[in-house]
Amino acid sequence: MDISLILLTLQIAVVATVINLPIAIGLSWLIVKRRVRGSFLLDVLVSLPLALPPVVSGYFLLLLLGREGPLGSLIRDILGVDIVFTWVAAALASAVVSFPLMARGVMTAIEGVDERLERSARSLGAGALRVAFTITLPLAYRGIMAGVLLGFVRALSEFGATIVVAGNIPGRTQTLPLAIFEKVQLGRDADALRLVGVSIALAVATILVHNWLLSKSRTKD
Amino acid sequence: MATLSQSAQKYPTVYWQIGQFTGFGFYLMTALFCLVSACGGGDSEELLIFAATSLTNALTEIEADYEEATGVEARISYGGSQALSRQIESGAPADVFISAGAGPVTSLQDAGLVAEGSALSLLVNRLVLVARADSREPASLSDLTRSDYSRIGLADPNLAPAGAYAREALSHEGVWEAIQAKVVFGADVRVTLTYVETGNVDVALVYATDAMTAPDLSLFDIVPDGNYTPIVYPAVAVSESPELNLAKEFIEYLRSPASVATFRRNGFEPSP
Repeated sequence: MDISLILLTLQIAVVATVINLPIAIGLSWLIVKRRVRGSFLLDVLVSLPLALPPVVSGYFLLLLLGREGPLGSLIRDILGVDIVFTWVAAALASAVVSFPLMARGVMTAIEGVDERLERSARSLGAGALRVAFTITLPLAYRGIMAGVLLGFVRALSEFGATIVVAGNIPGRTQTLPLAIFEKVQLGRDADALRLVGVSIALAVATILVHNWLLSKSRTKD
Repeated sequence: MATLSQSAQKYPTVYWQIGQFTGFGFYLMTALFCLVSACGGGDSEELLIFAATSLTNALTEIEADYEEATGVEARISYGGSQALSRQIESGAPADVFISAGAGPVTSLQDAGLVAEGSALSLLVNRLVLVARADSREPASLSDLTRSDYSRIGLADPNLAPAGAYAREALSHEGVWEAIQAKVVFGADVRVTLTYVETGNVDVALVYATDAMTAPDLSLFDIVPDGNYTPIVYPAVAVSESPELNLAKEFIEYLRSPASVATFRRNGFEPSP
């Protein structure tokens, strides 16, 4: 039972991270490289879920994706399924809440790439995509990965938005933090503490992988 | 120019290769997870039950029996009845809902989410007086006015239904005003029970089902049933359930002699 709980938690956090990465890179590029008009507003938007209580993000998602919500009713009409209270909703909640952490890391990393390198590539005839994939992203890799893993850890621990938009359904939307919450509420301390141990192990493992990736890339300098 | 070519040589390939590897890994894992969850769904029948937290102990036992008897996989999401009812209204795919109190079911009924003819009163809960084993035995609620009991624990009537029921019972007995100075309010019935267990109050009025979870306390069945609104636990099938027949069969199973025995063991009485 613990194994499926851990797998579901990982699944939700991984999917949230995968949804976020292209968006984070795209928005960062718009904000720090293209400096599009109104990018300061975009910047605020990117960081907003970090500043808001997660329950607000969850409630917003519920209004958007719920049966009566504009997006929820559209999906229901087209696909005939509900998004809310499924693992997809849990992944979306984790994605929204963890997005700022990832995006800010990615943005800093992309901003830090020497513009002269990008300019010279362009002057040698490389198109915007080629510059992005052969110069900017490879050079910003370290910071991007740091952002990705930071976002991933946050997605692993997401609670407030998830319980609002995905509920607490064992085997479907119940992640580690929700399971711990339930055990604490029921006064099942032994179960709660066991899951707390699992939670700590997952967090430590992620941080170790993060540090290992960074040290591995440093030794090749 | 020198610095340019240096840094260009220094960074790209290594990071990029690790980047591709890690990024690719994340996407591969996603594909795998999606595949697993897509395939994992359909192989056995599943039933999703939303149930009031106070039912946890009893339903955990019944769930195991039910799964063994029918081969259907039951999943139970526990929570506050009002919160669960709201979730169902927002589209949570519950098949069965068991509520503490009639209110949350009424709001589902208003939303047209209760399957026709599926609603029934499953259980009743009762109020009892609990005290520490060493305290004096009260003969009736009016004994609470005596000086033997210096502190009386109740759930806050504004926050918890248990408190509202207790106020009703005490008012009916005519002692509500008289004990005001001695009352300590807990945020919910569980907290109130803890007050007695830790010796911070002498006695408390709690649900019989909560009292059963505290074997160290003495339990006095001195609150007359007629003194407060019956505490009914209705069970309903949700009208939008794709497993409506299975849902109704599960509710039937909750009325079977074996299930009733389990409920009784956990302090509930079957609804007459």
